[in-house]
Amino acid sequence: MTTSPTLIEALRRTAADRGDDRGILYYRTLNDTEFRGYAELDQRARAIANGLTAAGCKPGDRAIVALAPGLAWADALYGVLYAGMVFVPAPTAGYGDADGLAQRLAGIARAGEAALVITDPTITAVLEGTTVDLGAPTVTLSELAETGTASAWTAPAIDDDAPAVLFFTSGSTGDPKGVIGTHRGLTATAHACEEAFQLDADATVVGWAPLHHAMGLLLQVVVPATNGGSAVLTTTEQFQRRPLSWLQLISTHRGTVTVAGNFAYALCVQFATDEQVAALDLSSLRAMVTGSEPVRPETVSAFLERFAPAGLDPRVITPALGMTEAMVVSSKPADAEFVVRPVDTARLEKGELVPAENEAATPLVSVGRPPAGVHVAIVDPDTHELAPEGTIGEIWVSSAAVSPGYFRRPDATAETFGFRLADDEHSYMRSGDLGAYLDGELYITGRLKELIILRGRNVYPQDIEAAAAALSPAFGVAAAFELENHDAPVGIIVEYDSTDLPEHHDADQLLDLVSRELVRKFSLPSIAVGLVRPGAVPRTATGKVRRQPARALAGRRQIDFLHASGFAQ
Amino acid sequence: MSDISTSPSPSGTADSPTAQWLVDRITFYDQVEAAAISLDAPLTELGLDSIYAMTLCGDIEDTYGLEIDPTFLAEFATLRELAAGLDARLSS
Repeated sequence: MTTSPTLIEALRRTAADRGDDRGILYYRTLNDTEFRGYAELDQRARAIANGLTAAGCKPGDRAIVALAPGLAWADALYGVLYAGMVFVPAPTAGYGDADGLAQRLAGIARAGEAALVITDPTITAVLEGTTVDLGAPTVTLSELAETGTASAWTAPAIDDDAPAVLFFTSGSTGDPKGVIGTHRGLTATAHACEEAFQLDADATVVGWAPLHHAMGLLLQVVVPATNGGSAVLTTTEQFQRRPLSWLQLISTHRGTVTVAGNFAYALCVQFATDEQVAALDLSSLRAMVTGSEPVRPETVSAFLERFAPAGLDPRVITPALGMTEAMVVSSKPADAEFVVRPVDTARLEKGELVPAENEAATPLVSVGRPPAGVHVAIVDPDTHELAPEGTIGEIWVSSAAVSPGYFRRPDATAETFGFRLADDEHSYMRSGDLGAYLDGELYITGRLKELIILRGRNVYPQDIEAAAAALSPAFGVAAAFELENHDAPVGIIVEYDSTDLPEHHDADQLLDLVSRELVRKFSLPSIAVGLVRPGAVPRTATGKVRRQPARALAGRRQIDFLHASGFAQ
Repeated sequence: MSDISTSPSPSGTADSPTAQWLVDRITFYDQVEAAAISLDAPLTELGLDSIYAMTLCGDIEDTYGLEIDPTFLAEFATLRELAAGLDARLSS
């Protein structure tokens, strides 16, 4: 079997081919840009890697990277890779105070068995005064770049099976799991993106997705650097401040590829003025990838209509399915129209995908089909047998980009990876997403896991439940879930025993406290809260909370609320 | 009998244009029912999650030329107070 190049060899080749003519243009703000040509990126990487070696690091060691948003993320990524080490990005926003951030970093450093933590002056300042021990030595990226010498760098003795990155699952504070990405897997992802999104040497990627998660780091840095294309990037905050600035950057820089979640397209429709649309030219786009959360047909239609005057070709909208554990799974083929299929709602609830014949229809957006080399199977989650055509099952994925597993977590790895089907030599990863094929198109219909996704952000029910329980000694077991047909996108029911509370406690105040605290802690637009009798939250025989039944009962007001706010009726 | 229309509002002055602009923007964001939006409603109940809080900062920057962060917004309990805070910055 031939080995594929490592990410090191890929960037070195791009740097040799393109010099500094191609690279990454970074908008810190709308007026403040910095450019990193690929030759310069290669040189910085060699210096940083040499610095890491001088600091005593060895190939295979993990480096936690915690930086303010910017081009330094690209420098740090390739610096760590060039030392043969494993890049472990840590999110640095939204942790409140020094202790909050330190705890998050310490958790990742511990779970990743890190050799060191790489920071910058901004993060060092945020961490000032914390008493939490990060558990690994800390060094700034500039110290590494200064102690290392680019010309003294030698290639590390690794092959393409070596781990390159660890992506820790976002949000869940209780149980971070590190998804391993190998050099071979990430190189395979670069090939898949070339086919699926035309992210080739002639591509210009424009984006603002965070670089500490797989989607942003891969599509916006690793794939362009590997394939030789250009990148024009800005911060997530810049997009949030001015959603239209995303489309303006595409227009100005003749972007050909971009990726964002459905919420971002909806924001652009909401905020666009006629003047802004008139000044946009989106005709350069070949792929506007919509992924990381369910694609809503009404959002896509509204977006196409609003921006048609800007030269947006409808075939450019590219619904896709991807995940950190498997990267690109499926996408709408280039030059095809995107497909929305009305399916029978009643049969959908029973686990079948059939075309609707009357108005009781649910419109589903197709995520197309897998790129070459990716095998997708629809499988009964209980029997592990292939589901018959038209029956919804769990989406299983096999490809060169599928992760070998979770770092040092053999049990969790065995629950998700390495599954087999009869008469099939492939090794599959279980996605936890439910779906089915209909007339050759793949549709995602739901999630086995109970993860809540708000505007592309993962929120773990168990974190919300733990936060609620901590608010009062009268609170016990809770179940948190997504809500539909309510004002609030999320709901929670909490078992409530007021026996030990003072006589004159105020239930409305308690509801208000829960609502306020959870909204604040998880950045929710709002939350529906219901207090129920002890034992009323549905559980399995072993006492595990059952969130889907909880959601169904609460959503339909079929549970006895002692006190509640925000639930229907 | 007191004439209600001449009673001073709680802040002692008429609602500023800034206050009205804030109500208009929050209403435009359409994250909560229009009836829930008022100058004295708690800021935390106006649907300003991490995205819309940032969008509001961008809108304030584009409209008033003030560079602010969500941490600035967090100092105020209501739109009325936020308007007063912005007006104070604008006049300094």
